[in-house]
Amino acid sequence: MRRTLAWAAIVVTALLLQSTVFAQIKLAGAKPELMYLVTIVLAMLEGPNSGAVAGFSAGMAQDFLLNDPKGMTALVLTLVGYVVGIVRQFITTPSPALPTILVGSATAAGLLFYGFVAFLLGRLPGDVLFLLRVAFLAAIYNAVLTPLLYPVLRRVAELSRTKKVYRW
Amino acid sequence: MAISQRRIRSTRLLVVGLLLASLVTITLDARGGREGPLATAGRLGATVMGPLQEGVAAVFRPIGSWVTNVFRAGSLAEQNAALEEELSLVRRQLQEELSLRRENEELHALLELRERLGYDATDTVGATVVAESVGNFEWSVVIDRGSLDGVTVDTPVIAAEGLVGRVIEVNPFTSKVLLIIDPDSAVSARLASSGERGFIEGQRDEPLRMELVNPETEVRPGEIVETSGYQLEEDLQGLYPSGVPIGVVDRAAPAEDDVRLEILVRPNVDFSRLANVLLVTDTMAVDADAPPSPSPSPAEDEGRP
Repeated sequence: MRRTLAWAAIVVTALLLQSTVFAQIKLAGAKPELMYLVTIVLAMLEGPNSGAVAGFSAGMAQDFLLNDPKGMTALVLTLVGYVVGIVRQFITTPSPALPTILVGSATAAGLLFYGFVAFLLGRLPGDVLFLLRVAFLAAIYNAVLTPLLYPVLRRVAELSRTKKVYRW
Repeated sequence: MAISQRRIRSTRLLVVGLLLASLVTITLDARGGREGPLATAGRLGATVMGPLQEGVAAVFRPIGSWVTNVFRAGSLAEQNAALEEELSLVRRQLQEELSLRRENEELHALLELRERLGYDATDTVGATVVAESVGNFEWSVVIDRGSLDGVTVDTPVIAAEGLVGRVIEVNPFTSKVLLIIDPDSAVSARLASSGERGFIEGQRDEPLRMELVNPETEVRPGEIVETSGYQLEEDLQGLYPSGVPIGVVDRAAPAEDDVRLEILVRPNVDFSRLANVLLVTDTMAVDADAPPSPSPSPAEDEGRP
């Protein structure tokens, strides 16, 4: 329960920041995609099961503020959360750059998939070049924000765990 | 082993379940349209988010503009410390005054435009932009006026420089405005000099695209484009009031297929720093067929840096 509340608060805060503060500080016209960032980090920390659930909820939350058919972001982020959770289990590198790299690449992949879904529904606002540009810029933006936000998200994940197995 | 196998299977089941739920939602929403149950739920979400966005905007807008202004003022690192302190204080006051003056000018221009279009205070509502769309695939803004202020879906939105867009979603305290640069937006427009009609489509961050009813019209760069606000029958009227400036023709050349003319229109409004807008809540207050007073010269963009 506590965990759900903590992550819900994070999702709402991220949506607020994305539509106000980051709308004014854009990277070559692109906003960061904080729902992707939150989903990917959570999937890294908690595995594919939580990743999929978090992706679905974060995606739905964003969908309800958009004009596109609701459920598109939820569909994409469920897959992103699941896949990142699975992939993370096979990576053993202790590199501190891992969150940044994973967030960047998974954001780009997720946005391209979103664009594909939007294209299938006839809702892609522009051509392939536009999609590639947005996916690239938003991925870079997300990657840049990761070193700042990852420690915060990890702290919330640790504090909100019901059973504290390790403490160091 | 058996336990982990079962866990993997249950995770897969969960993912498949969530994916199905997403697909069902997409289908339901696409079929339900604007009045469907999901659209209603979406409005509920926006009703909660709106006031929060207003709050955050109130805190961050002054900080953001202050930071921008400091960057613009350039480095004063060489100045001696005491002077620098005093200077920064004075500069902040000046910036405040400048931004107040700019806002004053902007609001003034907005009032002038309202007067020129023939509306008065009872037909219009002033509003402030509080937030942008959360996504990268939609060009919209959230404003601090909603159904309690008399805003309805399709209410036209204008800024001092020209047309902004129309309301697509109304909540009690806020509403969402689709900008004319969104590819979903289409506006009936005309060339101010020749009166040739056509419509304008959004092309994201690129200039607007205009298509004319009569493809053989001569169009030159620099021509002013404004809303045409046609009237078809007694009470069937175009969405936008007539004579609102939209932009200036940037380029007019035959398209690749050689049949129609491709006209690119640079919008007057700078959508990246949209602040004060006017909502025309009663477009019927002015007869669409009545000719608006002549447009002022296009050189009037004082608001721009």
